[in-house]
Amino acid sequence: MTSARQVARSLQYRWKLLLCSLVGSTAAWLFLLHLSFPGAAGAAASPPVNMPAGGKLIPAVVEQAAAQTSLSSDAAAMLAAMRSAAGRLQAPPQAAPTDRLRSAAERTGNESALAAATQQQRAVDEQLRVLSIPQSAIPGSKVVFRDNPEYAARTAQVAVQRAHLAALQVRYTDLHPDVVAAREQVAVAERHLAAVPRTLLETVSVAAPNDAVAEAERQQKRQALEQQRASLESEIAGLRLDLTRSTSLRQRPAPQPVFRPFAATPAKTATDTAPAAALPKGAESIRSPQTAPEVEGGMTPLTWWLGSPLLAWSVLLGLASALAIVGTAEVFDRTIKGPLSLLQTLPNSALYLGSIERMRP
Amino acid sequence: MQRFSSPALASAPLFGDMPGSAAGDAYAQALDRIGGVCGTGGSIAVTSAGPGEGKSVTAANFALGLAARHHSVLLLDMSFQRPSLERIFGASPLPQGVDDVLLGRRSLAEVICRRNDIDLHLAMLKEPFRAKPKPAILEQMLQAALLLYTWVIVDCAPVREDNRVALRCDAAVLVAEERRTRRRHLAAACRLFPPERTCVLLNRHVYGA
Repeated sequence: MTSARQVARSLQYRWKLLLCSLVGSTAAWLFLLHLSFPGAAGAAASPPVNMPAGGKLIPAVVEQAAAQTSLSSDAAAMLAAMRSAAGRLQAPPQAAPTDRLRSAAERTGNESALAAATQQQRAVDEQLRVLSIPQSAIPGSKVVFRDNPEYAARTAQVAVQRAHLAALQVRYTDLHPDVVAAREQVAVAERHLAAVPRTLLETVSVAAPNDAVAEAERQQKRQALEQQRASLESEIAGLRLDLTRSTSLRQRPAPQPVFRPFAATPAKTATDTAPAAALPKGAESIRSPQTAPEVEGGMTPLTWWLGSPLLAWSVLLGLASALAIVGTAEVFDRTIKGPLSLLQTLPNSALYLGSIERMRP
Repeated sequence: MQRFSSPALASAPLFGDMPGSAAGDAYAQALDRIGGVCGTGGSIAVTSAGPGEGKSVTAANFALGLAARHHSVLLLDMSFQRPSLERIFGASPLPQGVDDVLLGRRSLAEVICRRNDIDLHLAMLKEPFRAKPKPAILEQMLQAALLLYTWVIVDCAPVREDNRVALRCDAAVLVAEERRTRRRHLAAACRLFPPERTCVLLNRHVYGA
């Protein structure tokens, strides 16, 4: 107990010496160890799992560090190669954001044109069906076509909603809730529009029908309608082909080995603001394909260096050396260390007046 | 006798006239023990083995303690190489100092000043005294001081530098600083004085360390 108190007191007086000797001896040990084991600097901090039973710690750690370094360099090379391959495969997602937005707008335009052509084809079919009815089946009357006002209103409504959808798609991606809602509204409006006929048939009574003239007119009209229908069919086929191509490019899955969290994420872009709950599990951990971690495994250079066994051994040896220096200085210290030491120094007849406490600032 | 009221420096820990504080009680206890050596009066040389161990502060505290007990006391600065009472109590208003007395140009009564705030009489050196004072003048000065005052506290030089003044006093108080004064130096200083008139004070002691 007394010796521990003496040691504590000695350290209290000699903390400057302890600090200086700790720093100096640590640096000296670091230098000596670096000279002795030049490959040990910067070795990994992981414990030597496969340490040989012989007890040679430093060579085992050095060997393990070399193996880990080669593994990490191989992994880095493989990662670079796979990233370059992914860059070649993923041309549309890695294109500029304006190009991606432009392709989305074009796809929306294709869809709108296809829907309009389909509606037009239905109208032509309806007119052809009406023309196929023999005129003699309606005695004293004539069939005429009149535009449906409800159809025009719904067409205008669909156009407005498509414009709104196109504006939203320029701003957001397809996963944005506003875009999804707008697309659903457009689909509902298009279904309603498809249910409404474009023209209304009206039977108008005529005074004296001329069968020959009417039949000729009907034939001309039917031919014109059939030509219009053929052109509409070819147009619809072309639009469907374009739409299929753009959809297949847009929904191409990401390469599996490189960005695994993105494999299940359909067409995720940098401007995506969809909530994380809507994304598949693991996709929210990485926001952009370009933002790879700078240091693999969460290991910064500071922790790498601090974890090196060379520095740890140097600090341990330096601490032991500093304590040895302080102990030596205490042993060879011949100053008065307290009242007891003073009384041992004084002759028997000298009077000890007492002690004055050290004044602390 | 001229009065002066220069402010004391805050760095000087003066507790001799403050009974109740730990340091004040320690100084009072030391004065009681010195009274056992010197009786009711005399000259006390405060010295040490080496420089910078707290001689001047100890001498000042002894003088303050005696003045607080209403004794007639003179604090005499005889630390020729490093006069330091001026640092503690402020500069003397007199144009002359103890060095003039040592050179035989003035009498001791002409160089004594008194502070306004405390009833303490001081005779201070104006500057470091490089010349070697004559023993006869030293003897005369100490005798004149003892004629004027009951107690004369002499702030002396370290005994390793100059021990002529300390050897002419009635008692010597050796100040030893903890963890600074070497044991053999203190023992050598103690051997200079008669053991029955030698006192030792441990300065800057760290309690409970």
